[in-house]
Amino acid sequence: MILRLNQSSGIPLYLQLMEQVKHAVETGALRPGDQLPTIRKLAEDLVMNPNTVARAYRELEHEGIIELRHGSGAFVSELGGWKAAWKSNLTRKAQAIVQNAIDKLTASGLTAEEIRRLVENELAAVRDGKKLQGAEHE
Amino acid sequence: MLWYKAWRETRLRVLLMFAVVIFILFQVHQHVPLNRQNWASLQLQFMWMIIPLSLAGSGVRAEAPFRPVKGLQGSMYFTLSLPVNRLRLLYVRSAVGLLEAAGLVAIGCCLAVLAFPGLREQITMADGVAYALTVFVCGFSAFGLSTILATFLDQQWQGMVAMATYFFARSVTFGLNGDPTSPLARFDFFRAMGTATTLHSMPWVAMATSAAVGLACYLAAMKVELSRQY
Amino acid sequence: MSNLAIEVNGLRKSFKGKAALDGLDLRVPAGSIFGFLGRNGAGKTTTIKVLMGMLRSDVGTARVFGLDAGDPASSVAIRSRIGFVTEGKDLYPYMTVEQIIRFTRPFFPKWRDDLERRYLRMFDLPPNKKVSDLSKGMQSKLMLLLGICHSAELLILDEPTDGLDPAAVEDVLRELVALAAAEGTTIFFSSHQLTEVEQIADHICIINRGKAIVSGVLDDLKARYQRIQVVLPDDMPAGVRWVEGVASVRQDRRTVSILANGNADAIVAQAESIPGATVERFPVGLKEIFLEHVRSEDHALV
Repeated sequence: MILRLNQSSGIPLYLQLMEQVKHAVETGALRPGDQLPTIRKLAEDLVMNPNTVARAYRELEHEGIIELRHGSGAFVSELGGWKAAWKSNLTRKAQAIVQNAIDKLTASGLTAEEIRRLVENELAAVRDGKKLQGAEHE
Repeated sequence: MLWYKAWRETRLRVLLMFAVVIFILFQVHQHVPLNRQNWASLQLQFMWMIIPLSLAGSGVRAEAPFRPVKGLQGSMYFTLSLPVNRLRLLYVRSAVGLLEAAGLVAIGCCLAVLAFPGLREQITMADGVAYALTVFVCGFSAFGLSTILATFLDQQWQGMVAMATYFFARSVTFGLNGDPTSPLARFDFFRAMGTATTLHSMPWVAMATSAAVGLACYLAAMKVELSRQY
Repeated sequence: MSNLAIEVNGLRKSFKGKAALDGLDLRVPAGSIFGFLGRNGAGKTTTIKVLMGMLRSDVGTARVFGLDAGDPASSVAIRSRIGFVTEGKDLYPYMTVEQIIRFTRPFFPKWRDDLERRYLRMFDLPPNKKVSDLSKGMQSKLMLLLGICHSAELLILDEPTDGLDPAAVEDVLRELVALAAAEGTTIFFSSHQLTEVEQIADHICIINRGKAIVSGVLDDLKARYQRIQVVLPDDMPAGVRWVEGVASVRQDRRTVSILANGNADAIVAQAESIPGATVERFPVGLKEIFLEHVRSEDHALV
């Protein structure tokens, strides 16, 4: 897996990792049945704490995106695949919504930077008000 | 490997001492051919200098910092991180130091006997060995002194301070005790070192005194080393 | 109560009247990667020396693997289970790589020859090169190798990446992570390189002036801390008492910047209740947490 994590952003690494795995499943880079790297390998490759990787995997399993088969490793689940499909559907719709919103805001005179700050601000409120995974109702 | 380390870190000094011993021996012999009479005074000359120097130099601290920057970083930091008892570090270095000194003393005395045929007729190898032993044991007090000083002073200075102290002590005892027949003369290990001994006339009392003094200093040094903090 | 590799309580140590440690508490869970952060002179190295038995504390206890670090016999036992990594210049410069290994090996009955061969190769350490001729990065790797080969349960590292180039830093961090993952080795490292700590640590403690001022699970800390920025139409109404959770407040004309270490929602709500105020919130990285706490200690802002 090719991943990019940003250590210095305030976003916890395990969340970033989860997001990227989900994104990979959505875009088809990972398909149901594909095996994820072992915790140890991923930690080494990314040079990050194995407990953090473990936590991300646990949460992903909790959400049903992956399954941890004892002794064999972590695999993208069928359910994960469906969710991904649903998600990518949703994503396409969401993309349209975002595009629409940006067009409107730009038209009303806001710069890209201002729009980005607005969005980040709202997201921060969402994340810290309730946990991010909770906000993703499936 | 601790032994190798102790040797490796002192070997330059030992070789230097050895060179000095050889040099003085031959220098003296050139001017005054050695015979039984002046054998003692010769020894008096160079032993006074060499033995305290070498024994003082081998006086040990548990470790010498290689680059004494930032207080006590350098090798000390690594050595002390190893699961080794501090006293063991001290013992090994002491043992190596003593062995080095013994080697120097033996070589100094025996070499004289071997190298100068004239001397050999008058003094046997056994006497040479006896004298070496005498000097070594009498010099043990210097060793103890140097060790206890090493716990307080930096590695460079302790040798010189030990030597200075030694000379001072010697002149004091000689001043008090100039008369070789006085009852206290038996304990005077400085005098014992300067007197040619034979296998049959070893100054046991003086040797014992020196050993006791040296041991007392060494034990004190051990105690200080154990409580030392880095 | 989980297994603690290191437990320190109320540690105090003074040198010549100045307190290097002033009541330090520390809890390092076994199997964690623990970042010990602080400015230079904050007391990190002193703490490590106490753990290693090089210094004795004046007051307080320090236990490693449950053993008393201040007792000489226990300290030897502790050190037989610890790998210690510092700057390379602490090794004997005149010895070669091979000699240092041969020197260190007899102290550890559990020495693993297979690991020695593997890591010599992996780290590309030339056996016949003198330590003084090695680069800093290689020296650090050599020290790391010594700790790995005797199957240390705990690695204590004192600023291990100091002076290393970024590639060497990454190598060292990768090895630490690999050890933690493969062997469950507890990693305790002191650093003032926040990015590195953020990268691999799961627990941290920030020490300042000999005391722990922040400690805990890193992810939890980052979740708790937030920066809340309030822009007011006029100056701050006088006598606003913020609700609990405000770690520090800074004001520059009409902008009030609040660092919250908990209770962020309530603070935001309070800020929003000020007429005309705009409120924004941002996540906070370790650097901000660190600077805020250390600076606030210095200037007694809070």
